[in-house]
Amino acid sequence: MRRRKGQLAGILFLLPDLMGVCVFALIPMAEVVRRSFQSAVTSQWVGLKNYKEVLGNTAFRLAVTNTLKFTAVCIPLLILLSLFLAVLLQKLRVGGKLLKSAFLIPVAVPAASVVLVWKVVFHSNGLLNGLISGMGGQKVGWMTTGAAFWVLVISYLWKNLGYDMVLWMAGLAGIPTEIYEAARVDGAGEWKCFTQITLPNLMPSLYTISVLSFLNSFKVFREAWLVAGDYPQQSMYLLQHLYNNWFRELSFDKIAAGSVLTSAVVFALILLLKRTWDRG
Amino acid sequence: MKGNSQRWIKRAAAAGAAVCLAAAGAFSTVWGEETELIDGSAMGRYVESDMPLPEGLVTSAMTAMEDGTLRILGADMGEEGSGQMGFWDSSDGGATWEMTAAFPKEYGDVYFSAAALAPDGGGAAVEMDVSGNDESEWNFNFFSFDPQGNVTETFLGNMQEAGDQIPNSLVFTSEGTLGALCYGGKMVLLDRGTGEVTAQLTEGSGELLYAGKDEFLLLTNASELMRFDGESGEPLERDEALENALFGDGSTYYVTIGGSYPIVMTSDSEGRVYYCTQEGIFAHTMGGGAVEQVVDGTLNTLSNPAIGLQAIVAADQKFYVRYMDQNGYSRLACYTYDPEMPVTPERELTVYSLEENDGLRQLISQFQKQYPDTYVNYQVGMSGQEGITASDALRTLNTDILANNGPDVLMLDGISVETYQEQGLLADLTEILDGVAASEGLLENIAYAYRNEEGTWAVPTRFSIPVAVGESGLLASAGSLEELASVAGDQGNLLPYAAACLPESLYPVYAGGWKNEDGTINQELLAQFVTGVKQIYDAWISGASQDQLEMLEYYKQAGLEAGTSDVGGYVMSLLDGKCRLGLGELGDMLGYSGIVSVNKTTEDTAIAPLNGLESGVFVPSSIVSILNTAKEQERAKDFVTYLLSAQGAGQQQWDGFSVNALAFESALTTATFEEGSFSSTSSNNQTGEMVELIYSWPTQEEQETLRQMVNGLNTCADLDRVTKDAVLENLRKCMDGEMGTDEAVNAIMQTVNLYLAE
Repeated sequence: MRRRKGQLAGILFLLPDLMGVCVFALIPMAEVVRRSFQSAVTSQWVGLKNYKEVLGNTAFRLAVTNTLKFTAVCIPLLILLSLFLAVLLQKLRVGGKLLKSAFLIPVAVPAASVVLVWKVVFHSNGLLNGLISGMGGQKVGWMTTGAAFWVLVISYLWKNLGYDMVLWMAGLAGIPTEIYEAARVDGAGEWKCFTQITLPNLMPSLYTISVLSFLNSFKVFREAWLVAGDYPQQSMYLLQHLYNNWFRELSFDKIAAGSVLTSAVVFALILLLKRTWDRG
Repeated sequence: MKGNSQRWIKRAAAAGAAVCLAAAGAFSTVWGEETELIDGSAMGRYVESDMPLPEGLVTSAMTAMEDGTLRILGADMGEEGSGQMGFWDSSDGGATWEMTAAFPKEYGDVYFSAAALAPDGGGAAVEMDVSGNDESEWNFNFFSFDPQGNVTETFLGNMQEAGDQIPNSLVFTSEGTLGALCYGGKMVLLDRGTGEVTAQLTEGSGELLYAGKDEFLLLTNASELMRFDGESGEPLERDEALENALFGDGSTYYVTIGGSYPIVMTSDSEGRVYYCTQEGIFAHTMGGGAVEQVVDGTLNTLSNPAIGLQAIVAADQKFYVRYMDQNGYSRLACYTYDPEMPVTPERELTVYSLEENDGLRQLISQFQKQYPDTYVNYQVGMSGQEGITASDALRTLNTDILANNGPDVLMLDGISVETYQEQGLLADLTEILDGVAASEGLLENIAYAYRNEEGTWAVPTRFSIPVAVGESGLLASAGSLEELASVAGDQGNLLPYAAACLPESLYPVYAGGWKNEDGTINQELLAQFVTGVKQIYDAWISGASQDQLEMLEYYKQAGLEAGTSDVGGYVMSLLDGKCRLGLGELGDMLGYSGIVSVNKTTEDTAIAPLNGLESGVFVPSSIVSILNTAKEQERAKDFVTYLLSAQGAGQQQWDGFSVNALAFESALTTATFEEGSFSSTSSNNQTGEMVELIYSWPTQEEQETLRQMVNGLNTCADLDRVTKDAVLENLRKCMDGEMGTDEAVNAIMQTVNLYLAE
């Protein structure tokens, strides 16, 4: 009886949050799934037609490829770099706090300001090309060639490095110093301590950081869109560009089908990640 | 039970209507008219009607006399150059007018720079005699009229000697005191008989002067309202409520066009002041705390951006507003209280356009007048203030449509007709078009541009023609990129503005030609266009003088190159030899008159359609459609019919030729100016020589040439926004040397291919 009461209280506590999730996530998602089987405006049942169209759409394939490529390049780079910096800053006795704040500044800079700097630096007659020309080099079309992809990668890393670093540092702070002291008494060096103590203890943090970094990677669209509009250089054309343009063209049916496919992949990836971690 | 619920519904409706009434400060009445509730709807508002003025009458001032008669001071310009000045009176509220006093014939041609009538029927005016060569030599005379029309003339001086004592605005108080605002903004009181300054009230800064009951109201250029006693000229206490209402939202009132004003004011015998702006007519009791809207300008002509207000008179529980229409003619509108008209129109028709369209606004104000039960809610996607892009605006529009909150009528300028048609959102307009075609006739080669086997989904109600103007020997080369490049190299052939606008001018006749049958772009043809335009531009740069290069830079910095040029703008340059060829669009008869008039002097100036990869091209504009989701389907059809009608076409004159055959023929054959009465002058900035072009209306033969040109139009220009933006943006970068031609073509192809793949 008491157990039932406890369960009821738990459910009651969960209920407001569950309702929010239902109203703002689950029900809209169900609506998107329904729309993915219907025509855009007249809502006629079209079966799998939208999925076929989306999968056969070269713009969709390009956007998926670019998005996956971006994720595959950025996430490992970000995780490794931020971990390296977190360990380094933790070891620093002087100026560590100052540097930590400095790395966090980009998180607070609004996307519109980033874009302004971006335009000044990477314009064909911008600062960077001015520097290259001054040193006798050839100008680079930063925003009009494949280099645009790397501009996007660097921008993402610059913006998110501080945030991930802080997450790592929180993980590092949770490792008891006694373990390190014991290891050092046993003759373990820095590298041994890092691989045998630090890394295994950071595994729970790695899962959270990976998921957060993955989700943050979708936000890089803001900068890409603000700097290059609806149709950026091909290498930085992401899924959000496509959805944005489809919305302009009233292709709600394709957006729905594309969203269902994308959600399925993201969900599968997160589940896979979780399972790997759970096993580990 | 059922009766109970019905009673509650009725009560709720009545309560709602009462709340509406209480909140309807915007529809206040001023002479004791009562707003009533009939069937839950609040009834009673002022409605507009046109009061015909005598034909050919040019009005200078208007008043309501003590016995209620309306009086106009004006000149009948019926015969060429022989006007008859005098008083015209109407004792039936403006329905009919009669000349009651004719001034001596020698005053027939005088030009009044300021005039006012007093409630006793007399008046005063200032003549500007511009026969001197220099502005400083212009002479001014003061005219005093007694109520019977006897005239006394006094010389005031010339601009150089007495400039700051010469009135440019006159006004009478109800007691007959004459106040004036002089050049330079000084306010003075004048002797009514001689125009002599009897008192100076301010040093300067005056912008507009009006009269309340026994007082003067001065609007300054520092956004202040000053009051002066009507007799002594002593300053009066400020009226904060009126001042706040006038300037509180940051409004300013500057006179930019002679003879019309952004605001006009009057008063009645009870001491109330009325002012009229584009927003409507407002009432205020001096010293009171409230300013109430009496007439809503959005429901009538007052909101028409093409009109200029001239005067307002309150008489016999009516308002009379004298205004100048888009053609410069004086008109009189009367606002009468109609107790049977709903306070707010019963129907609301929503019209959406991506960009502001003044012509459409003009038309809407006239449509509302014809359908007083309908309020037209004109929504603009990109008002130019929020900095949103076309794509942003379209996404917002689509969200509204998806939420079943979209507009009834969609103007498709800059919006893809194909997209909305493919999604099944557009209604078939064939029935409407066929109706207008049967009754008034349509230029079917243009009006049915968006017809396919299933229906007609949109109609371009106006159009313009991409043309080349200039020496007949050069016209043949205008469409060929190679020949244009060789022509552009000679200094003096093309104006800097024409060089700056090359991409926009040539795009309509080339864009359709790049498209393959499957809708993709032929890269080779696109590359030829980009290379060709770049070569023309480079050739022009290599032959341009320093002055021309500076002008080009100016256009670029001012962003003026991002549009197509109206070929009417080339006429003075063609006449004085500043250029020999111009590219642009022809969209009105004034432009065409200019070209044929230049030819009368040069005997070698011609106009020809611009041919590129396509020929017979026209540029559609004011493209209208009805959404299938429209809540006001019937009224939307009425609106489109009105837009297509000759009557509607007459309201919207500067957005291109009308597709209505009757309106087009009327525009073609009806001269809007007397032969020799309309001219334009400019000075050559190198020689300083003045050149004058006297406009002639096209002869029958010249009219026929244009008629044939229009009949030969059979290709609607491809104006897809994404493709056009991609081409023009990259082409401009290429012209400026920011990227090579190959790079520009690749960038265009990449964008367009992505767009098409989507």
